[in-house]
Amino acid sequence: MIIREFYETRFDGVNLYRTYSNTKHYIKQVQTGHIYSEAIDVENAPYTYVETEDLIPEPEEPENSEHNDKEA
Amino acid sequence: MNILTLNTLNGDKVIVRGGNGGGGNSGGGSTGEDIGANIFAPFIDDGKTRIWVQILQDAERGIALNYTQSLTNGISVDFGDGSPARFHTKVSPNNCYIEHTYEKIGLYCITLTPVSDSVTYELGNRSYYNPLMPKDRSITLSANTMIRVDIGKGCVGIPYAFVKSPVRVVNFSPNIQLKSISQEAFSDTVCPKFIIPKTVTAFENGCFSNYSASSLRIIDCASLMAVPSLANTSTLPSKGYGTPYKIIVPDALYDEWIAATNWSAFVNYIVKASEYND
Repeated sequence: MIIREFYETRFDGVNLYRTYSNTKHYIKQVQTGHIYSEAIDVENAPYTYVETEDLIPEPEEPENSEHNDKEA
Repeated sequence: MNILTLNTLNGDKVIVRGGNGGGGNSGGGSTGEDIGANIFAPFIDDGKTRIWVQILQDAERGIALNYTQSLTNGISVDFGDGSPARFHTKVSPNNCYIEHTYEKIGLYCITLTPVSDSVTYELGNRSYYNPLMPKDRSITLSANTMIRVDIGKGCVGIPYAFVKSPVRVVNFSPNIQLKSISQEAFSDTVCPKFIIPKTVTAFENGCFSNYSASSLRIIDCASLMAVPSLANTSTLPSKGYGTPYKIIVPDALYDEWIAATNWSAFVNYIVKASEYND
């Protein structure tokens, strides 16, 4: 589900709103097609969002990875 | 041994030791025509990518180079010590991983040369690897190992290229085809200034995240023709990350930039190019 919530008020008085997926999916900005993991927009931004099918991956740590294509 | 100092863009100094390494590219600071011997050489836009490395101790003589390429044997790799050029058969998205051991400590320039203008490549890979790593994964390369990287025009991606790396200077070819600052590209590095190529249209997830406190000074976007997308607010360091940095943008795009998705949260950092005084 897409969630939109108040984020903060900037020093210039502009209110910002945060949009994200509560199921940790990427979201797509309908008007541009851009993909975001979260979107901070000014209050009157003309954007709407839909969830994509892609989950936001958990961060990887290099120490836990292994090369598959090693060639000496 | 010669001991030279590289002045970085934020006034820090990197000590470069040379003079007793192996091959023709040791002896940092020499002024011959061989660019590999001179870490202070100006950027040359000849299509090649150059990585200056400083091997400071015997335990670090073994290194591994990571990249991807669009064509089998598409990139010639010269490790800068007189050894024969190396190639790799894997094609993107598979990773090319070439190990090399220098005979002596010293300063070297690794040169990646595409075999034709149609060959593209990425530095690093999307499994969280720098272009340059220790061959022995149980050790960590010294802080001054990868000092300077000049990225040639055939490079189309820098995924994880400099995450947690000690690189101090990164130069992009003015003719580079880079479309995005790739995922985690400059995460947690110490380089103070980046001039973003004009072709960039996206800042991918985490490309400047967890930036070392007080290191970052400037993200110069002044040459961009449009506001790039910004994956999320974690992509850039924000409140609590030491000395504030500046994002320099074209005057004509300033209003659009501070209203753009996710950039809107960084209004305190965004300045017009005409109003920025270094």
